[in-house]
Amino acid sequence: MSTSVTITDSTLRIEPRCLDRFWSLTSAMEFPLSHVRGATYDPGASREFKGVRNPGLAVPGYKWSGTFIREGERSFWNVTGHGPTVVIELADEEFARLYLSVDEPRALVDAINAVVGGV
Amino acid sequence: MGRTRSFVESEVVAAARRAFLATGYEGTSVDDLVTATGLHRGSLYGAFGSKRGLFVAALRQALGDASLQRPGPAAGGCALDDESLDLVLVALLELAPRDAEVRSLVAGCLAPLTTADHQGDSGGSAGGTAAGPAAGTAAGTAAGKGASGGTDTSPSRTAAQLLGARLLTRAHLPHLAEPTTSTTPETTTEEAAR
Repeated sequence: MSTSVTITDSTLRIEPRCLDRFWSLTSAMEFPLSHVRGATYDPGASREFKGVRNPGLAVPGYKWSGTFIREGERSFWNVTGHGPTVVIELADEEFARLYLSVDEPRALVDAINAVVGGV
Repeated sequence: MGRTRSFVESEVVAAARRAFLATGYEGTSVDDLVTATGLHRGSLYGAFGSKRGLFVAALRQALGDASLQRPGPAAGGCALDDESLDLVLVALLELAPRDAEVRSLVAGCLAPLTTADHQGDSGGSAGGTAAGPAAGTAAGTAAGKGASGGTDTSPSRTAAQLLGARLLTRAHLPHLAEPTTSTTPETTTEEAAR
């Protein structure tokens, strides 16, 4: 899938893969785990309005890669299709949340929630 | 930043609680929660962090309501109503095996009720039957608190009976749950549930 997510002792590292680095204008991002509020497996997320693309790529119905702004909130998207999307909620970061297509969404969600604990 | 909140959190949590009761944790999608609560997806995430965060809030609400109603150990029972017990069952089945906070919440609810009317009632072997991970934890906590300090597992039977009876009643098999109304039956209902 289009994003690699790595959990270290203190950070969450997000790396778009291959051409997605180009589309999203992002090679990698790292967030302190203390700024991660939780993760959710949410296949329906990509069907909603994503906001205004700024900057990034949007191929309606297929691919969203980059920064989107909706109602004043900035979100980072790297999602392909309507499949295994994970939503990661952040606090005190440039992005309110991340929408990512990943290989094993349920395992990733459990792993993130296990280390960040309560909301 | 986003919009200011314009919803009553307790009402949103209550609506989510009903959705989780109807379709379970994994069976309830974020789309379902958006429909049930009437909030936007972004507002739900902003307020609760994740679907798990919303479930934990719902569980805390259910257990909080129960603790307000709990008559105390002397009354010999727990005041968890059927809906709260159902949510505890969902938590035990789906989240407790892999979520320490949910496990701890459920254990915190079950521990006081299990010590209610079986303290000092010895019997059985340590690590005996239990309805689930949380019941086992609750039993361990109760045994740790016990005045006798022995390996009293009867509290775990009490928790198991309560949960097993509710499980059977929910499955439209209330007649199998009948023995739980008598005191300390030899056959536990969670065994019958298997």
